[in-house]
Amino acid sequence: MNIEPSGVLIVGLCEVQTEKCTARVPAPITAVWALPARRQINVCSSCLDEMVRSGEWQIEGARLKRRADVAVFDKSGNLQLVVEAKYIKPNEDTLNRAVQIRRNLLVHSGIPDTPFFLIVFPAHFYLWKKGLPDTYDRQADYSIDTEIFLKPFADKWRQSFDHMSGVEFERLVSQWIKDLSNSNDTSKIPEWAQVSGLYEAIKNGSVVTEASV
Amino acid sequence: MSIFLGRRNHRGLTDREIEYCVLAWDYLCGKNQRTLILDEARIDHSSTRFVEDLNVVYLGANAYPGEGFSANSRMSVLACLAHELSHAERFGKGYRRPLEMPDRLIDEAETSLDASFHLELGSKDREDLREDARDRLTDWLAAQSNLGEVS
Repeated sequence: MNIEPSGVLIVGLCEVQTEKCTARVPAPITAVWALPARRQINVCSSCLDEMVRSGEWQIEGARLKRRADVAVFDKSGNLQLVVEAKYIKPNEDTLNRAVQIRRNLLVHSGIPDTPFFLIVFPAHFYLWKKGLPDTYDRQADYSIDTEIFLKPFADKWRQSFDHMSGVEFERLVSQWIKDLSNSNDTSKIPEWAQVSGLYEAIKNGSVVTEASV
Repeated sequence: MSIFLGRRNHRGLTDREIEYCVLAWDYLCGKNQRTLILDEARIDHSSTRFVEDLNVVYLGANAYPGEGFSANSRMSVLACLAHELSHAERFGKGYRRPLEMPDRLIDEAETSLDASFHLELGSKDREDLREDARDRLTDWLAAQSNLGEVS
């Protein structure tokens, strides 16, 4: 959905209230218009950022701050992988949602140009490998069932994989990536991670959560 | 149009105006709150500025628009503070500002352009910031031309 910020500031409650909301109690918010009907939505800046980052809203002429839920640097300190982890309902059309999220992040400059980009949902994850030619709407190069990789981590932490917050999910994904990066036993590395070159790129690298990239 | 042809507000801010600036600053910063120093805001001719040594922004009378036709003089409080926030963010990324004129104008132009991409701004603010960037570059080019460096 296209959104146009009004630039008008008020103190009030955010109507969106994502997990990262800063206006659940009266706080500075703005009014934005949802186009084309120009429906007014009052929103705090954190939720505005989150809605654009999650691919639901688009704002023409704006950019996101470059941030990754998880960023992985190789041994030389080069950024190899950016990960977006989104805890969404399993019945959603995750394939199109993933393409939409990546598209929004590219359009709004929210992620840098890295060799690998991964979007993780509870049911699936989607991996893009840098390649030419590239387009905003390019389908993922790899689509894999997530649960077999992430559920063991959730069980280890005694967390219900079916009911967790977005932040808990991000932490889980980060732990899994860390484990993958630090593993030296190649027999335990999933085939897709080896074939795509991801494992080699992030092997013994450093994993940073909520990173500015 | 040269930015020197415009003039922003120079009258010291009232409590109500300061309150609005704080609201705008808190909104722009979101979760990552930064310090906005209010000590000079009531003083006539005080300047809104980012101070590198302290990594803080001072609020001044010129946070409010003034008279004149230039983008700089008509720019809203939100756009002005977005510009200062961009200075702070760019400093955090390792950019160091040239201290001398006219090269400071390039940094100011780049900062205005950077600020124009803030998600929170309306289209008018974006436009004013981009126009401000253009005006500053025009002034820089004119200064270079006077120095004989640009033919």
